[in-house]
Order: sequence, then structure tokens, then C-alpha cells
Amino acid sequence: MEIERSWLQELSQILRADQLLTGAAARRGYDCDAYTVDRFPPVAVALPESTAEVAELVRWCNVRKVPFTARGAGTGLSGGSLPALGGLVISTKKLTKILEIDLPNRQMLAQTGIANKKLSDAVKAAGLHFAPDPSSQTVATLGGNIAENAGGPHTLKYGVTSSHVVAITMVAPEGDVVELGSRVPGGPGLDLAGLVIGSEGTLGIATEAWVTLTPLPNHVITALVAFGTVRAATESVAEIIASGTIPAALEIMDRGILGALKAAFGLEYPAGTEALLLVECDADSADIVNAEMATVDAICRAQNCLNLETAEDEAARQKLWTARKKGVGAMGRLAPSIVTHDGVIPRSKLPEMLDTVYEVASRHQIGVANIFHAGDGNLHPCFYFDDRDPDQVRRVVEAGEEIMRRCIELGGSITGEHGIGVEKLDLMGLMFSPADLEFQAQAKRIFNDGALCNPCKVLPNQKSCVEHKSRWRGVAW
Amino acid sequence: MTLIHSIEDLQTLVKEKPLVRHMSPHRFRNSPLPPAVELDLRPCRGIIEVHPSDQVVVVRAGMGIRDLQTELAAHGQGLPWIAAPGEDPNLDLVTAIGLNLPHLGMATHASWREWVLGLTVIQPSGELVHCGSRAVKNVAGYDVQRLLVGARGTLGIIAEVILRTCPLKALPSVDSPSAMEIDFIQRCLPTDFVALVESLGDSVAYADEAASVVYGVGKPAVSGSGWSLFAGSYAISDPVQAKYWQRAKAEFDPSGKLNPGEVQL
Repeated sequence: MEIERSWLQELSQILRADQLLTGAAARRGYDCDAYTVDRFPPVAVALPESTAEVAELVRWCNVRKVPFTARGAGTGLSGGSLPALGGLVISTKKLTKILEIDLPNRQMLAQTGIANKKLSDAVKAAGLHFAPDPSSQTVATLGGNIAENAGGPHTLKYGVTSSHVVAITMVAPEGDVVELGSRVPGGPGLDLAGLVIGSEGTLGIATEAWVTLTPLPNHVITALVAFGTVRAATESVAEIIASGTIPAALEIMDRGILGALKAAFGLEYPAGTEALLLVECDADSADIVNAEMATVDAICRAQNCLNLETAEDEAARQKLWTARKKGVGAMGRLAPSIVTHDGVIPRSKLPEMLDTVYEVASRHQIGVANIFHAGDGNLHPCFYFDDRDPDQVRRVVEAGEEIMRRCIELGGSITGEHGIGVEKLDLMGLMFSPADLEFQAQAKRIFNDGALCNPCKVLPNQKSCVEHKSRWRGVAW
Repeated sequence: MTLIHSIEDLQTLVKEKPLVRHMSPHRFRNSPLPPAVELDLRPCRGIIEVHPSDQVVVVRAGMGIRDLQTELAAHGQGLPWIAAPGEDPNLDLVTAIGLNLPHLGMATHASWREWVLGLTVIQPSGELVHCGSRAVKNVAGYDVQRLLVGARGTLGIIAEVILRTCPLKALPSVDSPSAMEIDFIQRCLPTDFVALVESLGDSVAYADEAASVVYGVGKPAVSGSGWSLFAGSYAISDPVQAKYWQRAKAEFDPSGKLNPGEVQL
């Protein structure tokens, strides 16, 4: 749908011409995020530069009854920034300023369009960083991290975004600007910021946030361990955690990933390697790190690892991280499309769950590779396929749902860090009863009692979304 | 005081009675409170499931924290809770979580909002609902559990809690101070801490410098940053909190059945 002329005129009162994209290319470019199975184009994309402009846009949307969807870098993996009913995409692309750095209190105030890594870069010299580190951190924005409650490899020890964002300036769905949370956390009262973090942009548009900064550890040792079976790797993870050691990261990559890494970057691992386990231990004292690594070493050797390589200096450690960091990108070599799932299970169930993943993929005749946050029990089975073939898409969707069902049966969750978006709407009913979902809907209505602010996300069966849904899927093909 | 022995009892009573109150007596609760049927959840206690290798426990919310710690210790686990000065070490979970009570391990191990992974909640209709999950990492749906921590039991009655636990060797190493009476807890930004302690003078009973928290007698200081919790009254002055608490109440408990008077909006 082309934007109406009268709307353009009204929006030009709020934004300069270069802050509003209405062409076909823009509408196509903003019709999905990194979850590409479902798409729908917005009528326009707005690029506000301040909280006030965001508020004016949201108020305009309320007057004209135009749905609106916030968008950061578009790296979301569940369709959180898909403009499901069209309308306006409100991009935070131009909200990239750091507004205040308070080193003594280890906090920083930034606009939410800033890339995650830029927060850390700004305070690296002071020995601090912003701890959530999603794999997309060079581009993924703070606002997107807040919306999705983003995690990353180091959340095992340091926690997810909700542990590191203390206060939020948000444009509420009717256009009010509200300050949520407090720079001094832990206080009495309702944790409104806590409800907003992870709400996938459905409770408003966060425009600024105070984040906490975490000291960089003085001593870090990274180990890359090769195993002859995936089970030996997953059992090592369970034993490491059971020993009372909490490494900073515990990541597994299976043979599918290693094959892609070899094809893409020529990376080689010991013969017979079926899984790589990356372990990182950090602390302020070398003694603690060495003791933790000794525990890891003993457990992995008892599990008959094929090879265990450790590194302490930055360059050598980064080399060991290559497989983890480039793994998903390397999968581009395997097939035109990848769907990355995000199930969580109690980590003691990892060995059993991995067996299920391989069995399901094989039965549906889909390629699967696994690269995941083993310490958190957060799986990322990546199905690789060709999204131009509707039959392959169908099998990928079915296999994904089967895996999610098993995660729930094992006491886990259908998403650990990617969110529900539109991708997992139909699975919410597997994890929650109708009464549980209504309980969540009550929480949503505290902020969003309408149908304009990022509609059709998180909760299934929303008004005017069900009939619209068939238009998302395959619309671009 | 009606003793509650099971969740079914709780559901029935909540459904029947027009006004119910359900937390234990505590100095940081509001007072005076209007009449309501008093429910004592403390008999509804005990661990339902414990998973040491997953660092998760599922427990009935009437359970005392000290009793929970004793049982968890047998599994090599614990809650990183160190009772604050003046706190009953065996305070029940439903009250501690409802008030989001501070403790002495906060500087290194955060608090209830980070530990509560999921809840079973009784709504004013008596209906039982769940939120969150047993997974330590979970972003499925809205984090209603975060909203209920600190909601003073005004939005739902917490009947069961899924808590993240911690290996014994990773618990905070802070000694509980000897018993003392305190009237307020005040927290500020680290850079304001020295000034806060100085302005409070003799009112400071215990200073937790690592967390920038003061436990004191008398009245809290007027401080440039942070929050305070004080005995005998709980009123909301922040207009954003007031507005959204009212909206939350209208959604979760429109008839005002749960913990009437606990929050002055």
C-alpha cells in the first residue's frame, strides 16, 4: 500500500524529508528482520532523531490509527520488528548518541539506536564493558537488546540484558514519554522496566536507557576442546556446572558447523571431531581462573576429549573464538536459507535433547547444525534449506515445532533469547494455558491496551492478526 | 488468621471472600490496614522439586527462607540471601518476594527480581496461573513474575516460586550482623554513599558499603538519588509508578480484593 498524500503532508510537520522513507526499495528493505520466513512491507519508514520526535510520531499514529513497529538494526531472529499490519516502521537508526558516562557509578546513558558493541568500546579504556554480547553485537542496537532481553555467550556468568539495564525512557503506546526504573536498582514497587525489557517492542518504544557497566576481568583463559561425540561434550558441560564452577562462557559447535567453517574459512579440527566445546573462565585473580580451568581440564579428559587447547593472550583467545563467532555466518555456504531455533532446556537434559534434534532433522530430511549456549541449556539448532521451495519451508516449520514441544516437555522454554515475535506465536499455547496467556495479556494491557503498537507479536490470537497472518508468509516470494 | 495448608484451600478461600490479606506481619508493610480476612500461607510450605545440576528449586511460597536454605544445603545449593539487620531469618518467601526485601548479598548476587524464574499465582477469582519457567534463560512471553516481585501481593497471591539457586561455594561471604531493630533501609548511587552516611549520622545502624545501602533507625535522609523503604507506611509518590500501579490493579484485581490498603496510590 502506498502512503496517502495527506499522511505525507502531516508527517512532514514532524520530520524532515530525509527522515521519511517511502519508496519501494525502503518498503521492501524493512519488510522483515533476520527472520525472513514472514514478511510484510510498511507504508513508510520514519527515522526520528530524538525522544520528542518518536513521541510525536506515535501520537500521529494514534490519531490516524496507523500501526507502528519499532526497529533497531533488524537483526532480530523471530520477526519482532516485522511490521505485521503494515503501517509505520519507526527506526532508531539515528538515535545513536551516548549521552552520559558515569564511570564512578559504572553506568552509562545512551540512546537506544546505538550498537551494543559501541557501548563497550566507549568504556574499554576504563576497564569496563556492557556485558550482554549477542553474536550480532557489532550492529544489534541497545533498543533491540532491551526489546528482546538479549543474551549472548557470556550471559552464563554475567546475565542477560535485564540484569544490565536499570532505567528506560520510553514512548508509551499512546505517545506519553515515561521514565521507568531507577539508576539505583533493587527498590520497592513495581518493576516496570523489568516488564518492558523483553516485551519485544509491544509496550512502547525505548528511546534512552541507563545501562550498568561491568569490569573487564583481569585474567581470562579460553579453552577449545574437541570431542569424538556430541554426548561427551554435553555431559562435560553438565559436569562442569555441577562442580560449582560457573565459567564465563560454555559454547558447543557440532560437526555441521565445523563442516561449514571448513568450507567457508578452511578451518580444520582434529580427525574424528564431532563437537567442539569452547570454555572461557575469567576472574580478577589468576589463582581462581587457573583452578577453574584445572577443573574443566580434568572433566573433559575424563570424558575422553580428543584435544584440549588453551589460550591466555588476547590474540590467541580470539583465534579459539573464531569457530564460535563465524559459525553461523559460515552456514551461508550450506544453503540459501537458515532458520535458527532457540529452545531452552534445563542443562542436565542437554545430552538427551541433542539426540532428539538430530533424530527430528533426519526424519524431516533437513540439514541441521548446532551452535549453542550449552551452559544455559540454550540450544540453537540451525536448519539449512532453500526458502524458495514451499515443501522445504513446511518441513523446517514442522521440525522446529517438534523440537520446541520436546523442550517444553523437558521443563524448558520455546525461546531463550530470540523472542516469540511472530515466529513462535503458535507455540505459546504449548507452553502456557489459556489462563496463563490471559495473565500475560493483563500485564501487556498495563501499557498497551490498543492494537497499534507492534501488533500481532508475543501473544497469539490477537484481533485482526489471525486473518492477516497468511499474508505474511511467503509474501516476498 | 486462617491457616492455609494447601493451594486448593487458598484457591477456595480467595474465591469466596471479598477481601483477603496474605503476607506475614512485617515492619515494612503499610499500616494501618482496613479489615480483611487474614490468610497465613506459612503452613503451605516445602520444596516441590529441586534440581541441583540445573540450579533450580520449585518451592511453596509459605516456606521460610532459613528452612529452605537448610534443605537446599543438603543438595549443595543455597539462595544467595543473607538476612538484613533486623530481619527474621526465617521470613517466608511470599512476604520477602512481595516486598522485594533487600538483603546483605545484593552487591554481588542481586536479589529477588533476578532469582525468581517463575511463579504460580492465585488470582482474585481463585484461578491458578503460571508464569516464567524452570529454564534459567527464558524470554517466552511477558515477564509477569518480575512485575509481581515487589507488588506487595496486590496483583496476585504467589503460591509457588521457581527460584534460581547457587552452589554453596559460590554463595556470598557476608556475615549476618547481630540482631538489631531498624526503621528504614536506604540505597543510593555509590558516589552518594559517603554523603548519605554522613547526613544520617547516628541514625546508621549498619552500612553495607558494597551495595551502597544503609540500614538505620529513625527517619531516612533526603537523598539526591535512590530509594528508601521505611517502617509503618508505604505510599507511592512517583507519578509514573502511581499511574501504572493503578492500571495494573485495574487489570489484575479490579475489585480490589487482594491485600487492600497495602499500597497508597
